[in-house]
Amino acid sequence: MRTRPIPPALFAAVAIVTAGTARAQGTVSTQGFGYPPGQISAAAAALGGGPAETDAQSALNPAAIAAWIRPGIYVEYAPEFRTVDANGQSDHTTTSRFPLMSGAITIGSRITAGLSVSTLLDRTWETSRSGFDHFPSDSVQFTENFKVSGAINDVKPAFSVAVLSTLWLGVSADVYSGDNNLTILRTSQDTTVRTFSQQSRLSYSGVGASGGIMWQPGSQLAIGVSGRLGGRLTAYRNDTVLTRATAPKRAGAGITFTGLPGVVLAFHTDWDGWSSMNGLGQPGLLITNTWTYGGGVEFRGPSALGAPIALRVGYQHRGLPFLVNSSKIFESSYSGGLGFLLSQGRSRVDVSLVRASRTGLPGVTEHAWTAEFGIMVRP
Amino acid sequence: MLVSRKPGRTLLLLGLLVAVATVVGACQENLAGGAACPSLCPDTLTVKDVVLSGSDAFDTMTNVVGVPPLGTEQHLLLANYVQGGDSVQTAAILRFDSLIRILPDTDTLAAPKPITRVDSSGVKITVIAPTDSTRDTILVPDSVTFLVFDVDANAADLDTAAVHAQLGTPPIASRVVPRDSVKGAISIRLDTGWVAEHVRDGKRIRLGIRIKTAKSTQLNIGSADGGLPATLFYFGFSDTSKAFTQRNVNTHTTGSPPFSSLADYDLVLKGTPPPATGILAAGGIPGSRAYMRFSVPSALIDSSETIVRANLILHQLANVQFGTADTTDSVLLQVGVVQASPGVTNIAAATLLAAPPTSLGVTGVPTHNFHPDVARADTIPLVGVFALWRQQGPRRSQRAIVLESTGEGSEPRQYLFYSNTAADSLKPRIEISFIPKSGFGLP
Repeated sequence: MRTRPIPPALFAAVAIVTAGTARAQGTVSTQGFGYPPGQISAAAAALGGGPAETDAQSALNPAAIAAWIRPGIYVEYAPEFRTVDANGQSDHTTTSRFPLMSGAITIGSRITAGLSVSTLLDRTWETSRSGFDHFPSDSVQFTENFKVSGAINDVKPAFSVAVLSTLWLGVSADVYSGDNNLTILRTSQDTTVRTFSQQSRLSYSGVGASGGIMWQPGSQLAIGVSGRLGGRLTAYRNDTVLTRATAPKRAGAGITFTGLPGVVLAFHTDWDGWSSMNGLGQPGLLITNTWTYGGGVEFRGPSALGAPIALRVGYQHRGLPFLVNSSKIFESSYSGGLGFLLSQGRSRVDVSLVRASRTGLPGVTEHAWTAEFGIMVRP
Repeated sequence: MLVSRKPGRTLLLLGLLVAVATVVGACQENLAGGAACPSLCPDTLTVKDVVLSGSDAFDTMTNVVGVPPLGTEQHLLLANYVQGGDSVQTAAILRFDSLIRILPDTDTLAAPKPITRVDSSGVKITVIAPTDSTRDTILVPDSVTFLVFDVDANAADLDTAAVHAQLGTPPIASRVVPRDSVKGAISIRLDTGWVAEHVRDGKRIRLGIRIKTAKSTQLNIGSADGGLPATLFYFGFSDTSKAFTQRNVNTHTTGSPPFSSLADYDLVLKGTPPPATGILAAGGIPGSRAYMRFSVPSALIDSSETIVRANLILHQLANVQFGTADTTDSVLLQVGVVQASPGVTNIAAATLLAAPPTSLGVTGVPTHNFHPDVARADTIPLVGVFALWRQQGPRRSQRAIVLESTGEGSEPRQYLFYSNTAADSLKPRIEISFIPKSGFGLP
């Protein structure tokens, strides 16, 4: 919108009224507050998220940390190579993520205490485009760059107690923290036009609580069920409260079957109540609750380094929480991976490769390769 | 088909390969995208335009004529030439209000004795060579006759009209200098009786120097402010001794504050006429500057809006006096940023406290090669100056600029612009484009 002239007395009012809003981010997956990596380990990701409810390293079911058995730590690195096709053009981007770190210690024979830090929503993206500014006397080309980096993270201290020899109960707090660093840079080759830059930082804090059970009705079956209640989630600019909402609830269940020789079958489903975050963003930000279904198979492969290699394949389908132009976005992922046991089973290296397709917005397709590397060490 | 005998090792290598390839490929993030814009991109920034003119843009707009001020010249112009059919004539005024009138006695215990007779008297000036050595033969194409006038007038210090009148009287001395010798120190002999009379009678000596030439000529001589003052010299004789004496230009002004700089100054006999009422002028002999103080709302300069462009549009009058660009050397129009504080109400003083934008760290305000003889609309980008004002805040300096010519005081051509009193279409205006603070942040 261009206006001229504006009476001087109206400057302030004009400025306030016309302060722009921004909702979209140049990609399908990083809409709104960002992309949810899933809070699951590389091994679980290779299996389509199937064992997420019974996986010790994943950060969903606090009861599952009992599966650590011994004290240990786990670190995951997951760069994503994304391609967005739209308007006959393609963007190829690389985003580095460290989506999950977790660890646990055992307290006696029945209690396990754990701590995980995982990415709930990763809002890292950058767009760059050119256009023309039409000034009163001429037109000047500009390049405009919007960049955001940061995430809302979930810090989860958890306890798991073996109430029976086959039943574990777990509870955890969910402490949300993180920030988004935002930068706008608008430049022009024309020396009569000054560069516009704006930097700001949003930070987030909030709380929630999770609980779960893990039940092993037989030696060949494990069932996990967990849920999370959301507390208050607040967005700040500097020390000013911008918005408040409720952290998203979730509920999930999963089953892992090991009854076939050398084969592990796992399946899970998850419901995320993202819509409770309505109000945290600007009015008009569309957030939807999502379902996730996924599963996979792990085969015992040939041996290397003195232990069998785990061969994993999986598939997952889920919705993404933030809508684009009122369209729901869905993600379908095929995955595969390898697991290497080290140190006589005390440590493990997982390598997973996930091919995701994100659809739902006509005319725009997004595909991504995500390589996930997880290292678990149990001294 | 080759099949590894050790598939475990092959898988291990495969895993390592994937790991290495991924780490190498992802060692540097590459986030920039944009193919899906505009449907997936943030709303573009909104650029708003405001055009201000008249009192909405400027609260003061005036000429300051006589730059540099009388007596502060770094050199003194002696001109006698015709350019574009118009003549330029200037004179240098040299004041010797204090003379050496006594000499120490040969008997050091005795009191100094007054000078009763002088000999070999004269005035010495220093011709300053042009920076461009090829121009000395252009500016001085023929032999030059230096004429010296007695310009002592019983008038106020700043009353140059009385001095001007004295330059019409017959000269008291002269010297013809061949063209090749018009350089360095040049002495012009003065009548010893005339000098002796002033020395003996306690009178001051005030001299005016003009040049007379067959061809258009202009040259600069040194000034006291420029560090090369003219000198009055003579041999003085007392009853018992004699000595060679010389005295630099000096003055005792009666007004307050003392204008010691009036020891020497330039006097324009024929030069650039003053601009018409309602016309802004830059340049000329004597030099003029246009002072323009902005009244752009603080809500725009000092608020969260970012001014990305601020162009001053001036409508220039065609001024063909003293020639056109086809027949003369180019002069340039430059902007000075006033550094006087808002408390300085003397506009002439504020005008002198102007600095080149680059010296203030402001870029993008070029020196303009506008031709004074062309009627046109001139655009002067000031966005860097506005950014400086925002950075400094409203109390540090006046939000004003001056327009000046690179030929100020030495080149008679003058830029002329319509001022706020002109018709609306010809008034100076400022076109400001700004971007309000973006709400980019919360999705």
